[in-house]
Amino acid sequence: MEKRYDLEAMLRDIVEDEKLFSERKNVKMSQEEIKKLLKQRKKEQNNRDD
Amino acid sequence: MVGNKKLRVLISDDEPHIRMMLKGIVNTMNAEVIGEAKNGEETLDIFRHEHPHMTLLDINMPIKNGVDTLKEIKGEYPEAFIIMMTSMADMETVQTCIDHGADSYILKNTPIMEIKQMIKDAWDDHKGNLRGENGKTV
Repeated sequence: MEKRYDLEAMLRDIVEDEKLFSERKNVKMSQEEIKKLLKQRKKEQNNRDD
Repeated sequence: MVGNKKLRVLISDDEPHIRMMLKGIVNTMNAEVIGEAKNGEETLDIFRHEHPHMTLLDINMPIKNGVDTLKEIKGEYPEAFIIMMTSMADMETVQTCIDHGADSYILKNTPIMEIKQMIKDAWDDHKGNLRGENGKTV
């Protein structure tokens, strides 16, 4: 059976990914925001370990 | 302190004045600098020979950058304690480093006293986790 691809959807996903990537590249974080992110990641890790 | 031994620290930064500044901070913490590296390759070499308790790692360095160095060290030594010390504040880089196991992430434009406190807090937190895992004092 011939496999069909939804090229429009694939393209949409790629554009969304790239948009997200470039947004993350351009967003500058403050030291306080980084501290919060570190705390959040540690909490998630501890929950996983439990 | 680690047990009754001094904390052994590796400093990795291509800028001599930043290494000097970090050395000054480390020396006020009852810790000793066991090596200084100017790029990621040197960092890996010194790390493999010296097994420091703590590594202060810059990102933007020649030959091998800090993110790749972090990935390699954590790949070989998952228990390595690494603090990123950098001017790079973009979310992509911060998240990549944290995802790859950076124990802390300090921006270089942070006041010196605060940098010192953050290094100390991160190490105390790390020691606390080790105690929890091993049930013994580090």
